Amino acid sequence: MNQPATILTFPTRGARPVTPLEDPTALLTVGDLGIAGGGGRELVRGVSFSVPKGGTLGIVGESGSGKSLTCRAILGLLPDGLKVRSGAIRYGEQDLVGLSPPGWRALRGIHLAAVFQDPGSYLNPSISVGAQLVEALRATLKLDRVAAEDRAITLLKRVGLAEAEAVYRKYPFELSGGMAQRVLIAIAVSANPQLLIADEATTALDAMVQAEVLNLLDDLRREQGLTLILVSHDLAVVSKVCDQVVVMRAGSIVEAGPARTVLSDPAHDYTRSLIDSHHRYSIDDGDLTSRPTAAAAEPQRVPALLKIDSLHASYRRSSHPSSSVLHGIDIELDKGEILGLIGETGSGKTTILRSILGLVTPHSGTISFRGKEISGLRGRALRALRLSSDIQYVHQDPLRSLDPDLPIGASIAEGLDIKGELSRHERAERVVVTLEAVGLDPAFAARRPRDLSGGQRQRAVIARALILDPAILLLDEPVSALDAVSRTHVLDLMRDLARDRGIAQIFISHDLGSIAGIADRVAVLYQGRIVESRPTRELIDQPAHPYTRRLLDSVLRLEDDRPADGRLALPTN
Amino acid sequence: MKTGFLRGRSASVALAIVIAVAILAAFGRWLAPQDPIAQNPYAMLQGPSAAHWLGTDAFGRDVLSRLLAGASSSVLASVFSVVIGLVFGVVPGMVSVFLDRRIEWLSLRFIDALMTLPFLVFAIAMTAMLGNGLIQAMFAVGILITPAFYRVSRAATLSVVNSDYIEAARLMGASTTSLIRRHVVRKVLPPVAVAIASMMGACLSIVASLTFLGIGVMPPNPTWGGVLATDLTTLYERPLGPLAPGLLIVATVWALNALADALRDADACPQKVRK
Repeated sequence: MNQPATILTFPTRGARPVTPLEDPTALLTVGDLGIAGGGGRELVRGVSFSVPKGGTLGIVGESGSGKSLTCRAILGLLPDGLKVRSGAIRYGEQDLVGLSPPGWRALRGIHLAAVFQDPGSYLNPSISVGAQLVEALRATLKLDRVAAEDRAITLLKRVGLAEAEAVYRKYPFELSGGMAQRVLIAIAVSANPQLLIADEATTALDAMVQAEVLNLLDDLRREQGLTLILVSHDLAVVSKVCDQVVVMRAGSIVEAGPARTVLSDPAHDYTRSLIDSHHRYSIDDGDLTSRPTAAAAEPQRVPALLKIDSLHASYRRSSHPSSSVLHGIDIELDKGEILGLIGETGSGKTTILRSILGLVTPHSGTISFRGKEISGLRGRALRALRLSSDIQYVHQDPLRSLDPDLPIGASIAEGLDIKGELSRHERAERVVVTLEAVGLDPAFAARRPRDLSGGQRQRAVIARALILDPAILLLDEPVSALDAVSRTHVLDLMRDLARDRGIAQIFISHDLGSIAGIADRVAVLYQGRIVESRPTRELIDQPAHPYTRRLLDSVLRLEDDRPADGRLALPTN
Repeated sequence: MKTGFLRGRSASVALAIVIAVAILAAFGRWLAPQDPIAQNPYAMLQGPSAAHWLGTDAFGRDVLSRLLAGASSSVLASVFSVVIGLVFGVVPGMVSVFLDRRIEWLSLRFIDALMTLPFLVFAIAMTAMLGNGLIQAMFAVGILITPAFYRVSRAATLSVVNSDYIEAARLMGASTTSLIRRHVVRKVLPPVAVAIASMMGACLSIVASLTFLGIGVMPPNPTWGGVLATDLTTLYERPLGPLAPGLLIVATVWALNALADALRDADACPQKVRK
């Protein structure tokens, strides 16, 4: 295919003269890519970039900006109904647009590989990890069974799984999120691909595991000359790992250039707003200094709104295989207070919330709300408590917590509907008011969950809780799946709700930046115990427990200079 | 159902056949060119002719008229069975998921027991006990297809009962009835629609079998199975006689099953979700 050289330059937008990334030795070149869906709706247009061999390119942008679609087009994996409408994707000398299925089979796995978000869903739950690796190796490298098994173990060791033989025999549901992501990386790099596309590969992981996985990718890059395309909504991740960065919005590139320059001195307003949102909620948040310290937050005379006293519980949920156990949890929550809850996967954060909600019956200990014992309630008493709607829960995944068949408005009104207090007309009015309160257009009431972006869905879920005027909101990772801009909107909302309406909140997040930005106090949960619980600022300035220190040390900051050897600071155990 | 379920050609053909049969069932009696039970001793066992398109049987009755007039009793009997199955299967299937463990276990074992009963034998036994009539026989068949609806609606309910939105509704104090009404029914309807189409096919062939055996219908009244049975006795005189009723039964049963497949495939298409 003849491509004029000019097609490889960036469209001129923003103040900065566009730096062409093209390079005769580029491994991958995307030129003027356009992707359209049914009805000719353009989802991606005029996207051009190139990655040299051994280079690292970061693609950042909010959800729906077309960054994942661009990557899927490179891999030939566009969803049904979407097509590359214009432009070219060249891998070396080969044009990838319109490649035949045998052509793709020769490329995928061997030349191009990918790792996606949510590693669990990309592994077959009924086949052991080893068997899945062997399957990949036999397909790509045509190894015999024995050689493939040998190489599988080597690969598992290569991705930093110390007990490779044990992991080899395990099933995906027996792995933690970090381990599963490593296994996926092992499968992806099993045939020594040239180009690895990591699409939000570390988004669901906590700071420590994230740093480990990023280091692993970086090692692979340096040792095997792997070329990396990293898609992330987390600017800090991109700034750590990538040389070049492309900022996308609404299907086109708004800015591109060397990562350091773009992220420290953005030319485009949109890039600036992304960076501002990032700083708004980070552990270096300027606002923290104005937050009351321990001395200011004097113990109050009034009894706490919610009091948990030496709670012991164990719990196993079908969808969460790791059973978590709580050993004597004490928590107090006052009106209008936001308590941040942090801790690694399986440390029992969610179990605490579920105990408060009566979904887990504690072995011992008490939970009292407004001085009344609520733990161990059953049947009518539990339902009466729930109908009083004082305590509301916001699930982790907004898409799964909305009925896909119901319009947003019906989902939001559900609580009122169940109580049956208001007329249909009054309910509709309340829905409008609540949608406005969470910053959504009232027109959203008629839409289905799938027509909303991730951030909008999360606000809809919060609206469903708010419409019932609760005293306490329990939030389980409400912002972990959101990009920087949506995250800022949701966190601002939560902060206003605490301040203006006095809604107390327990807020679980693995993102320390979010916790630092809104929590008044932080409790650190480690192996089923609260190892420290102090005012946010104090905790971040002087972490006492070794686990807290390690967690804080692994947080990626946007400003940090990249160390000479490319390694991220990784705390030792 | 969803738009686009008629993508395959077989689905369109199946739908056309089902509609045609439905029209026959409704108006067949009036479409019949001659009286379906009028005997004509001067025109027995004739081949196809202008007067009798599909020929006449051993009593000189017009076969085409008998098939057209027989459509309504065959189809209505199947509909009756399916309605019995729906009534006793769908709601209990949904509710079973929310029941106390022991009651749930008992209901499942009861359904398992029903599944072990053979259709024809049970239907014949019922007519022996309650009197020979299509209603009695098809009531028995309806009871026996209850497990299909029970299982389908229970499976669809199970797939959503652990979802976060059901839990969210429970946390707001929703009762089981309102959970089913608001969230479960919509999820259960598509697979139940598939089950209706495939059970209609099954019931139709059972009706044909029963009437072929002479169960459920008094002799002069026409049914598809009955026409097939009388035609078979005169195979020697009219070798192509059983072809018309046989093809009619096969085509209808195939069309209902093909329709069920098309509905299932349309429902299985994942709806696109914006990331």
